[in-house]
Amino acid sequence: MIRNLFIATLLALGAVSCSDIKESDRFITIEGVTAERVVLLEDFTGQNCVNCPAAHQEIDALVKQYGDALVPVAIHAGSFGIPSTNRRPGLMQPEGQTYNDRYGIDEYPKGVINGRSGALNPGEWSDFLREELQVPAELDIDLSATISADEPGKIAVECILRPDANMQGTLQLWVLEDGIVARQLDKDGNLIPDYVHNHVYRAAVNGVDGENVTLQANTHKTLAYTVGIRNTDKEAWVPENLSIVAFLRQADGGVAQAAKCHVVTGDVEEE
Amino acid sequence: MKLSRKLLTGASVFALATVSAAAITIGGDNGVALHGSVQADVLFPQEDEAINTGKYEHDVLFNSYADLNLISRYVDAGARLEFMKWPLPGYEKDFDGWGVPHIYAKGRYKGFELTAGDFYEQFGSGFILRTYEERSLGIDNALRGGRLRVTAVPGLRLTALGGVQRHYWDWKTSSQVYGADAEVLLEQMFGKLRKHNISWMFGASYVLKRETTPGQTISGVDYRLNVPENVSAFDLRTHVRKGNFDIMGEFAWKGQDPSFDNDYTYGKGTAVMVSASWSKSGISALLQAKRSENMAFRSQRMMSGTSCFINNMPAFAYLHTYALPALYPYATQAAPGEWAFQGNFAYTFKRRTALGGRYGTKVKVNFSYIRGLDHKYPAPLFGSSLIGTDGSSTSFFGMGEAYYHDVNLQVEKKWSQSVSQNFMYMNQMYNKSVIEGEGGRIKTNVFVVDTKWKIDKRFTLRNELQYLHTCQDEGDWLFGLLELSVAPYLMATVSDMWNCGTSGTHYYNFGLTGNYRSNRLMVSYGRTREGFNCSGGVCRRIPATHGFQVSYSYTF
Repeated sequence: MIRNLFIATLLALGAVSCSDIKESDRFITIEGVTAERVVLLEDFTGQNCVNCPAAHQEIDALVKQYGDALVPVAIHAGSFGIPSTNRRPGLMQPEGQTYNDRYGIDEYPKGVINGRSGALNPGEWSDFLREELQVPAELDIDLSATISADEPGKIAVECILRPDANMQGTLQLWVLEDGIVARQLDKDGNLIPDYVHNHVYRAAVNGVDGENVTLQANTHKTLAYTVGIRNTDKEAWVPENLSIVAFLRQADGGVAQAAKCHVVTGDVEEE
Repeated sequence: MKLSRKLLTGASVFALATVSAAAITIGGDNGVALHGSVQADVLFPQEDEAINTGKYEHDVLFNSYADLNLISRYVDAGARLEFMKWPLPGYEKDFDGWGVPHIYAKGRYKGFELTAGDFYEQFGSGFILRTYEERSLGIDNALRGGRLRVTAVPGLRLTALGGVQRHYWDWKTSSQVYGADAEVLLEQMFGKLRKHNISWMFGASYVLKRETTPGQTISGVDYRLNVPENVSAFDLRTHVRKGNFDIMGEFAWKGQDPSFDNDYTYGKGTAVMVSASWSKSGISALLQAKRSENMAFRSQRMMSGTSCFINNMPAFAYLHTYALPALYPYATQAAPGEWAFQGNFAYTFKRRTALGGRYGTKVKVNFSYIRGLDHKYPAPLFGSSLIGTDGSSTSFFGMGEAYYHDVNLQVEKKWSQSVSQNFMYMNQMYNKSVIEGEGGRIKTNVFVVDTKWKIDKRFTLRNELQYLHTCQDEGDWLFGLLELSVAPYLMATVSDMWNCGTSGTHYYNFGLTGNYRSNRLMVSYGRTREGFNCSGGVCRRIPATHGFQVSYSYTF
């Protein structure tokens, strides 16, 4: 009986080994996706998070694939974040933790896509993103942000909402910054002192919780804001690297539409 | 929801279970018995900025359980009610909910036992299958389906099972687990072995995970990962006992299983463990070694955290019960793999000898030593990700960086009829970067003195003094505890854990515990440091808390 059991085990092991997937067969080609909207990806990350650089590379790959149809925002939060108020300041803003706690995130990196995916691991982003991109949006957002030479310390933001249907929601505008050179741990726990952080959340334009808006079909709504550019010893924004993101979050938590624009420096009008 | 309504809801659930259990009077005369338990852990949290508790949405948080099991000669049945709508802090997001997630019926007749419903099972050491419940970690990965156990043939134990795995309040039917196990007890077949008092077991197991969810798409390209729908795992083991000697060996193998744990790579998993021990009155020794690689085995390949594991790699680090030695607990690295060694030696110096003293002295030495494997990584196919490759290659005996070591010496000494002491010294290295994701290597030296004074028949006073020294992380810690037991019902404790190294924060706690028959009630107030709660090599991060805690349990 023992001999029979042993032979059966070897046979089963052999049979299973033959079903291995060869390296050449591990990828199935699928159809590309045509974007019908702009999708928001909130990436909850941290400078002491060793797995986060890999997630940043996932985002880079997705941005390369979908271009302006994807708006990523790196929100530094949690125990791996370094607060912006530290003696050696980091990239974690107080409201970053607020946004983090709304999703109940306590592992990093995690991403939330269009406010409705729940907290996903980076390997799950592509699938959910493909689904969201194909859902037509009933709202367009035109966004512009300029720094006037007259007021170099402020950003003037204009946001035009163009709904195709009646809708209500919370409009949120954020300031992002690219090209921030700051420390980051890599996957081996080594410190990279000059890591380049992109699409980092810096501040809320219209309040941490945004503002409620009610839109009527085919009626445009124009909103204007002013944001002070931070320039302190703990946090100094580089105007050329700033962007503004706007999105409308509906009652179910999902994002109806998102938009992003770079902050441009306007010309001084001659008197 | 107001505090009063929450309390009422929780208390109602709890009371219903208790009253139901008490009201049913089925006696042993009918061959039918009712057993069960009730457990409730409640926290009234207070926000405390000094220890970063964070903010709370609710005024009361609690986890509660009520088990009822009907036992008879041929049929058992049972169910468990769980209520954690507002759970204690630190559990995974999907943990909250309530319902009856565990229900079963079991029939047995002449060496055959059939279970339908929810059940727990382990094959061997758990390398390829271990489903269990560990409430403190929020783990319950029971299978829901069917299991047949056959012990009808002397010396042979057979098990076959199949089902879907619990993931908190969800049972995903697109992921199924099937398994078979056989154990042969040779001494029951061969008289010669019995004659020489040898006990010898051979075991073999097979587990199949079937997951029909398609593989995920790859970021940046229009490809989807081609993942195996069926993942197989095998286990072979043997265990020999003769006299004072006990030797065990086990080998496990897992097929291609691309998952979140291994970065969606296609390498196979292996585990091998050997263990030898020897003991007789007053002396014992144990040596164990284990090598595991890529053995994280889940029923859902994209899952992270502590849920959906089909298997469990046994812990190879000593489980400390004293507060400061347990400050940096090791979590088994199932996915990247590890080499782990563990041993202990215990000797009792006899009473009325020079070293034994009047009452004898027991000395124990334990060590754990764990290193990673020497991974050599292939060139990535997409960006820096290893997705789609065979993953890293390793040499069998090659070792990577040190993950953990712990050498501790314990001395138990009874000085008189009423006074006894335990002394412990521990030297530890904890690679926080590997185990927690950041923090470097923490080296500690820990000293513990635990003194018990039995004042009289009713009163016993116990005192613990602990000191942890380290130049890393939060620096030194001091811990003191005073515990007064009033037999047979009451125990009062007061303790403080003081971070004298850096923050100066005190984590104080005052507690009162009462036991009466099968009831146990504990009430405490104080602070708990943020840390890890570990059991069996699996750890859960617990946030810092401050507030009143009430724990009640009743077993019948």
